[in-house]
Amino acid sequence: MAAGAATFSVTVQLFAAAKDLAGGSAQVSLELSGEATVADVREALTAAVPALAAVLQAPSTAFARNEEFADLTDRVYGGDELAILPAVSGG
Amino acid sequence: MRVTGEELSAGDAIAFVTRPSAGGIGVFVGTTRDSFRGKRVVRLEYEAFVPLARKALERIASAAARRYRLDAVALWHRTGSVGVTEASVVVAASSEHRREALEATAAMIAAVKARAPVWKREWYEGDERCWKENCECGAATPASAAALRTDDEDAWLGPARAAPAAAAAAVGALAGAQERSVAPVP
Repeated sequence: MAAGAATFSVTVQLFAAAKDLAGGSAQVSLELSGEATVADVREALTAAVPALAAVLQAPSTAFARNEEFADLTDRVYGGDELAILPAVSGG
Repeated sequence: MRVTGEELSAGDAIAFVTRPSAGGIGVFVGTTRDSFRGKRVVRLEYEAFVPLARKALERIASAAARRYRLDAVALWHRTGSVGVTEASVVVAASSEHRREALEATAAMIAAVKARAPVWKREWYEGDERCWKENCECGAATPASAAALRTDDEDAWLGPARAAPAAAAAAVGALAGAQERSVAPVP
């Protein structure tokens, strides 16, 4: 790891099909470093749970950070609560 | 706005939006159907990212209230197990005249199905089950999630159609043009 790139941890909540693909886990903790974004969370989660790769790349999958919708370019910080929102089916 | 495990009542929603100033109430109730492509459905199970789903309903309602000049809105979604014929979602909107209430009701249920973080799983006879995806999901996804952090009307409801007055004028102009084109030359 590069000097000065402090590590920090975030949690990621999984819902519906994403939760099932992760073996029923509703939450995953990830370690990140440096100036990380939601896209980096997606990459780290893909590495941690390869079964989620397809869901994480699907155009209909959305992301949330601290209970708000997030773009892939949004920065993330230590203690943030991310969420993976697969294609929705309310109503 | 509600995201709740409790049973939903359309009557309660209608009472909630009833106002002396309103001349019409639009209502939509989504219910569990007993079949899907030949399979027997015994119940639906709804999961929600509750804090964000509640915000989504509030923003959809707020955007619709402004665009359609509504007097009051109820936008309620149930979670957990929902049996056949029971309501999973109730939308009610009141306005001075019926057109706005009906259009707002349709726009709100479309927005809920496209963007609210809620998921349904169909349970079939024999314990088979399947997570669903709405055909509306991802359609016309806003360019930026930032817009979904507000009650931006276009982000939540899609672009506004022509205002009723403008649309009527356009239809009138077209009818006029057609009449003129077939009028006998004096």
